[in-house]
Amino acid sequence: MHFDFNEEQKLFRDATRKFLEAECPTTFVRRMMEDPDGYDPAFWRKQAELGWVGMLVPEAYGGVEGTLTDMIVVAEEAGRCVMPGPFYSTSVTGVALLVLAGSEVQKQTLLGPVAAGDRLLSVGILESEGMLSSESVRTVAEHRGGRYTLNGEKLFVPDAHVADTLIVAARTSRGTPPDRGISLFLVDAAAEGVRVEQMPAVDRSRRICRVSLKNVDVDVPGVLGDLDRAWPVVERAMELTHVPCCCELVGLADKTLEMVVDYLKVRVQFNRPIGVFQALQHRCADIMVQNELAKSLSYYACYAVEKNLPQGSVALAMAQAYCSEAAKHTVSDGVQLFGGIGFTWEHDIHLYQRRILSLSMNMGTAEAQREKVAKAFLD
Amino acid sequence: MDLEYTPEEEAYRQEVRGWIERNLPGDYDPDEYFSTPDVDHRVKVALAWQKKLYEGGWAGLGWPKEYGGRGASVVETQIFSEEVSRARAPMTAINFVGIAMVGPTIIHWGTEEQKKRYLPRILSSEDIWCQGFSEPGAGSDLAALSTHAVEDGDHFVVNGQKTWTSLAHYSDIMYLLARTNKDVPKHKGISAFAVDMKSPGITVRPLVQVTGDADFNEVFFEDVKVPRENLLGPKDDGWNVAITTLMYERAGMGGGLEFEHVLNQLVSRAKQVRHGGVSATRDPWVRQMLAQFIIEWNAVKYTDLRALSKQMRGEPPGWEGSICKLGSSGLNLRMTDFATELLGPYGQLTRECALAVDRGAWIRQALMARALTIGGGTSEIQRSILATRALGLPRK
Repeated sequence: MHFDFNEEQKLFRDATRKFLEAECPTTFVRRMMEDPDGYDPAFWRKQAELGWVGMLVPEAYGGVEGTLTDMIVVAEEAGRCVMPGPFYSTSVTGVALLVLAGSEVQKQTLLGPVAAGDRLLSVGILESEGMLSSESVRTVAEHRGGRYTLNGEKLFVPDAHVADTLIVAARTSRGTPPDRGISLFLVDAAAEGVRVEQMPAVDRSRRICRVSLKNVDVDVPGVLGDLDRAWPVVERAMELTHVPCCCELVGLADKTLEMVVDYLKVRVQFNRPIGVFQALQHRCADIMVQNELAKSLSYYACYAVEKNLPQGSVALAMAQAYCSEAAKHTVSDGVQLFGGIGFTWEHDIHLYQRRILSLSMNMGTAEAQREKVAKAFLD
Repeated sequence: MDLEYTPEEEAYRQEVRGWIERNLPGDYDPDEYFSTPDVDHRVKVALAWQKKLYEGGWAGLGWPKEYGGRGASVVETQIFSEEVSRARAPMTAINFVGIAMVGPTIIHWGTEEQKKRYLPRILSSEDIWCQGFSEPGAGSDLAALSTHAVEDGDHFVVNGQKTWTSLAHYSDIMYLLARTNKDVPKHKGISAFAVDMKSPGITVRPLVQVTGDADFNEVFFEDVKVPRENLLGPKDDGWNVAITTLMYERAGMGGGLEFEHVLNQLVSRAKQVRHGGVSATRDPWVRQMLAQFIIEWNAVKYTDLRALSKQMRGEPPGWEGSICKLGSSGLNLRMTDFATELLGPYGQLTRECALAVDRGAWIRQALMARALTIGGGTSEIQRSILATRALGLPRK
C-alpha cells in the first residue's frame, strides 16, 4: 500500500517543473496563443528529448516505456504552466492507439519517428453531436477494390492542423451492437480530399480542428487494428488520455490557487493585506479542499485505469466529473479574488481559465460522467 | 502507486474479520445500535463489546506492546478499522477518549507510576474517561478556558465549569484542562489533570441534544481536590499535552468510515422509494445527486489513504485531517438532508411512528449531522487552519 508517487517519480516531477518553469513561462504561452499554429517545433523537440513524447512507446520502438503514472507527473506539471502544443494528441491518444491496435509494420514505421519528435499525430473521433459514442460516428469508409474511401467530417480534432498522420474512426459496417462496425484508419494529413481548418475556441494555446474527408483514399495497410472492432480500442485510448487530462486540471487548479494566495498576501486594502480577511481565507481553504479531493480521485483513476481494473472506467468518470468542476470553481473564484486585475487580458489567470474550460468540455460534461457513476451503482 | 495489500496484510484482515464474526453477539442489531436514542442501551452494548476486544487482545491495537497494546502498524490499524466498520460492530466511542486519546498521551507524557496506574484500566475499560476541554467561554478559543486549579500543599483545588462533555455521566475519570497560572500568556498557564469523577464537588448535568437524547453534559467543579500526582505532564505545560492528544484524536478517527454505511443505506433506500410508480433511482435528479455523493465519498476515502501512505512511511502528516473532516462532515450534512427530501412527507416521521421509514433514522441523522461540522473543531476553525497554516495566509 503506497498511494503516492515513488522517489524516482518525485525527482522526475521536480526536474519537469524546473524545465517547464524555464522553457514554458506564460510569456511563451502567450506567444503560442498569437502564433498561427500555436506550435513551436523547437519546444516540441525538447519534450521529445526528455522522453515525454515517447513516454508510452515501448523501448523496442524507440520509446521510454514509462507508465501512465509517469505520464500524469508530466500532465500535472503541464497544467501548472498551461503548456501549449500537441501533447495529448500525439503522445497519449495517438501513441496509445498505435500501441494498442497497430500491426508490427505500423508500429515499426510510426512509433520511432513519433517518439523522436519527428512526426505528429492527431486523432479524429467526434463528429457533429460532439459525443464520444459509436452511434455518433457517421463518417463512412467504403471498401472498394482492395481500398477504402472515406467520407465525412470530424470535429474538435486536437492539433490536426500540425499533424502528419491522422487517425480517424469511421463506420465500415452497420454494426449490431452499435459499437460494432467502427474501424480506425491512418490517414496522411496531406492526402487528397483531406481539408483541415482550425476551430477558433476559448483556449488559443491548444488548437482544435474541423477535418473534412472527401473521397479520401486509404489502402488496406492503412487500417489500424481489427476491422469493425475498433471501438473498444478507442474507448481505452480515450481513458488513457482522460487520466492525464484530469491531472492537468489538478495542476491548473493548484497553480491558480497559488497565484491567488500569493496575491492575497501582498494586496493591501484597509491598511492590511486582504489575506487576513476570513471571508477570503475560507474561500481559499474551500478551494484547497476541492483540489486535494480532486487529486485523490485522479490518482486513483490513474491507478485503476493503468492496471485495467474492472472499476477503472467508473473511477475515471468520478475523477472527470469532480476534477472539471473543482477546477472551474477554483478559477472562477480565483478571478473574483483577484478583483479587477483578474478580469484583464494582461493578467495570466485567464490563460488558466481558458485551458480549464476547454479541457472540461473536451472530456465530456460532469453531468454525463455522473450518469456513468449512477449506472454503475444504481442500476 | 500501489493500493494492494501484501499477502501478510490480507491474512491479517482475514484474522480480524474472522475474529469479529465469531465474537459479535448473535442478537446484535447494528441498525438498532446506531439509531437508538437510548444512550443507556448503547453504552451497555459498547462496553460489552469493548470487554470482548480486550479479552481478545484487540484493545489498544496501536499501543506499544510494553503497555499492553498490540503494537499494530499503521496499516494494520487501518485494516482493523475497515473491518470493524464493515461488520458495523459497535464503535469504540464509549472508550474512545481513553484508548485513542488519553492512553497515547500518558504513554508520551506520563510518569511511570501514572502509566502503571491508568493504562491497564483503560485497556480493560474498567476506567472510562471523558474529555474536559470545552467550556461555556472557551469553545473554538480553547486556550481562553477559565476553570482553574490552585495549588494547595499536596493537591490542587479545582473550580469552574466544563461543557459538551460527551459521556461524562458514564465516566470514571476526566482528562481535565485547567488554568494553573493567570500571570502568563493564555497558552502558557494551563495544566492537564486526571480527575476522579467521584470526587466531592463534581456535579454532572446531562444536556439534552436537538435529537432528544443526552450524550453530553455540563460538568461543574466546586472546590474539587485533585492530588498532585494526577497532574499529567509538567505544570503549566498542559497546552502541549493537549496538542499531543488532539494529534492522536485525528489519527484515531480513521477517516470517517461510518459515512460509507450512510451512503450505502441511502442508495438502497433510494432504490426502494417509489416516485410516480417507479424507483426514485430512475429520476435524473436523484441519479445526479447520488452519483455526486458517491464521488465525494470516494474522494474523501482516497484522500485518507494518501494520508495513511504518508503516515506509514513516517512522513510528517499533511493537512489531510482537516481536509477529510471538512469533506466528510459536509457530505454527511447534504446526504442526510437529501434522504429526508427523498422520502417526501415520510421524511419527518420519527421512530415512534409505525409508518416511519428505517425507524426514523434519516430525520434523526439529518438533525445529528451538525454535530460533525461543530464538534472536534468547527468547519470554520478547520478552514482557518488550512488558510493560515497550510496556505500561509496572514493572521493579522
